[in-house]
Amino acid sequence: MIYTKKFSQISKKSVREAGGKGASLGEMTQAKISVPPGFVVLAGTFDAFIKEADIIEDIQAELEKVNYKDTNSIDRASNAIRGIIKDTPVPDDINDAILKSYQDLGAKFVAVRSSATAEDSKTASWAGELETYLFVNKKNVVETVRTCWSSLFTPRAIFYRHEKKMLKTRVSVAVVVQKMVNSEVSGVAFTVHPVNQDKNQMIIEAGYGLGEAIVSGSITPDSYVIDKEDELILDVSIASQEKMMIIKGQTGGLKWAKVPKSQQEKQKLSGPKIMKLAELCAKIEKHYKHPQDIEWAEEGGQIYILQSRPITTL
Amino acid sequence: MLKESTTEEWLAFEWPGLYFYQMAVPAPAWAYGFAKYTKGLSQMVITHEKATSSLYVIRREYEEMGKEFFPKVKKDPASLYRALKETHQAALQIFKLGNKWNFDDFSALSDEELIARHKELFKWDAQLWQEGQVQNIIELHNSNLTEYIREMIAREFAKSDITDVFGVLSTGKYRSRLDKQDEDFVKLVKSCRLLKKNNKDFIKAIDKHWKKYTWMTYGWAGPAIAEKSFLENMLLARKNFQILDEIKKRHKKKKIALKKQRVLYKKLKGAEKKMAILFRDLLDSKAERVDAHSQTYFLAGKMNIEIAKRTNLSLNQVLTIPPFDVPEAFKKPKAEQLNKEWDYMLLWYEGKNSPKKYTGQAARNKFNYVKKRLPKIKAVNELKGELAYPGNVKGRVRLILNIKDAGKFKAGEVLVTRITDPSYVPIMKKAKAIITDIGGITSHAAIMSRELQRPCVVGTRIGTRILKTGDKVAINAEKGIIKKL
Repeated sequence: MIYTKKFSQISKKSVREAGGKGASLGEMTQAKISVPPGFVVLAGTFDAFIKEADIIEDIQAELEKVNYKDTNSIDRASNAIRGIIKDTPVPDDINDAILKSYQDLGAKFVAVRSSATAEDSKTASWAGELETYLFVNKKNVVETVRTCWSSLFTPRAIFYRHEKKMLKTRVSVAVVVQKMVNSEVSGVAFTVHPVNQDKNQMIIEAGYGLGEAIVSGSITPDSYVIDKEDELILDVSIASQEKMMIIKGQTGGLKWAKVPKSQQEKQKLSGPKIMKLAELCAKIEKHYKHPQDIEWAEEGGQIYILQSRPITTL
Repeated sequence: MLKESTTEEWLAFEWPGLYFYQMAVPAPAWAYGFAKYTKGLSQMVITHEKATSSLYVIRREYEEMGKEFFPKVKKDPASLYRALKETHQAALQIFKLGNKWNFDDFSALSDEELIARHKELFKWDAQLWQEGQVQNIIELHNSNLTEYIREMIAREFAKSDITDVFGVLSTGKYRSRLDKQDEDFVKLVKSCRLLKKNNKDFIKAIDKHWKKYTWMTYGWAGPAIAEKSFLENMLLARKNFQILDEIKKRHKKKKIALKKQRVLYKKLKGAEKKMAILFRDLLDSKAERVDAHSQTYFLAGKMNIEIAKRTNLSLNQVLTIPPFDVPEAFKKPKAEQLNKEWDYMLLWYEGKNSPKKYTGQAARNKFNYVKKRLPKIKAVNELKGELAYPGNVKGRVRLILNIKDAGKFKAGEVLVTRITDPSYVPIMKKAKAIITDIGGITSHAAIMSRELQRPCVVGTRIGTRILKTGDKVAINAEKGIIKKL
């Protein structure tokens, strides 16, 4: 049985086995959009896990005990089920497959995310689509995958499935394991100018360090305006940056570091790099046929696309 | 440099919308060129902040240049005419380049070809700008010639005729692009009267017209006029006969004024006659220079895009490079330095030395010296400037400090702005009256207001700082007085 698949083996048709997020990453990889490399622990692997460990009935029993009018009761069942999953060892063949894929990836740290296999976004949100673990290493990668599996049984997920009378339906979840980019420079891009809504203009924001600092608004990034039709940079606006977010040594996690004085006032991305990134973003927009809000990062001269979402506010 | 203790007043000329690649061209004419005609300026400061270039000089020195130069001009206008001739020749060369290159695909040129064209264009642009500055000594801020003409009129003509005579004497002979466009437009409307919108000949005729005139209101930074806009105007003019009537009326009025001008010239003698003709020739030269600048920057706009694309500099970075540094920037683009210069830069000229360049905080510190010496603005209810086109009107102010805000301008408002360039023409056409901070009788605003026949007061110096959008004002353009109501 195949437990894991590389992004390059997955396409947008793979939602059932790779989940929404996994399928989208596969899709981008196949479209030659440089997402950080990774693999998906397929939904079938979760199915094999509960089957082999023989815990289906234990889970079902906990669910039957729930009084849905009492939120405490839902919480108790959730804790119990997630406890069961946590205490159940991952069978060797699955364990080995995940570790092998991890090794093949050759990354020190990975991000592990659950990826719901349902096709509508509402189902995705109850299935803990957003359950994300950063800085996972070899030691805890399998364990983290298992934690993601248990995200099927968060109180919210249980309640939702009760509401939709889906408790008896077979549900499953895939898990995305992706190389963590230790970026020197990172940022976001809007393929349509978010302020004047000019479809011929793209905005790229860039700052030193990890993108979390920009996304959370704790640093002011450089901002570059690009004319998409003429393929030229219209404006470069420099924001001086004194601190940046970086990965904390061996343990993972984030910390602030000082930007060297000589770098503070500099343009974060050179002109040629801005144009290269703009080209990439235009390609993504064209691929999805809709304006995109893109998170990107640069590590060792390589630009990665971390995420691309449609801009829904236009 | 002057000692800190002297507090001589400085003069400020601020041009919002003028990029540094443009400002860098006339700057040497001020810093060094004026000294060929007068004592010149001992120091001069240029600042550039984003898309605003400004120039600062010591008031006394600048005004003394006018007082020194004007008697020389009166005695022998040849030195000024030489400059006018050089300006005219540069303009002709630029129009020629335009006819050759306006619709070329610049992206198809090799780097060498592109640089060669850029060099050719800016060779003439430098001549156009630099020779065009000489007249400023007596007509920008200083108004030696205008004052002379006024005094002469007061001497020679009845009091009731003063405004009329001044209007006649300041009527230009030069046919501006806008003027020619109007005439061609009337012809075009007539010749296509019976053709349908989708008729091939009609489309061809509009296209030809558009190609001829698209750049006429380009000004410093465009945009050029879209073909669609000519088409719309044309369809409108077919329905609304008033549009053509107004153009014809304007032309007729100008023709009559020029006829009267010839009669007046016959009446005048000696120096008075020479000065009256020089006065008109200065206005004509400036009007032609304005057209040539529009043509230059229409082409430069295309070149700058290509330069930005090929060097991977941003367009704004490219707009900060002095034209003569472009070949070097092509080889070695200096993005970091340009970012600083785009943000804030100050050039300090002293004597014949090359200017010292400062950026960032150092530039701001330097500027404090000048800032302390600029005239303080007192709150006043009355402003005074130069009459550019007569009229007595009341209206509501719309302050436009950046042409990008042109969309806010409503027909019938009074346009208050620092200075105008051809890109202001569409709102000048809509304005009930026009008031500017900078410029004399030869300024773009003055020339255009005469052409459009809109009451206009130029050179109020502080108009944009005293008047605010929504203020009600009464303008007596005859006297050059604006009253806040």
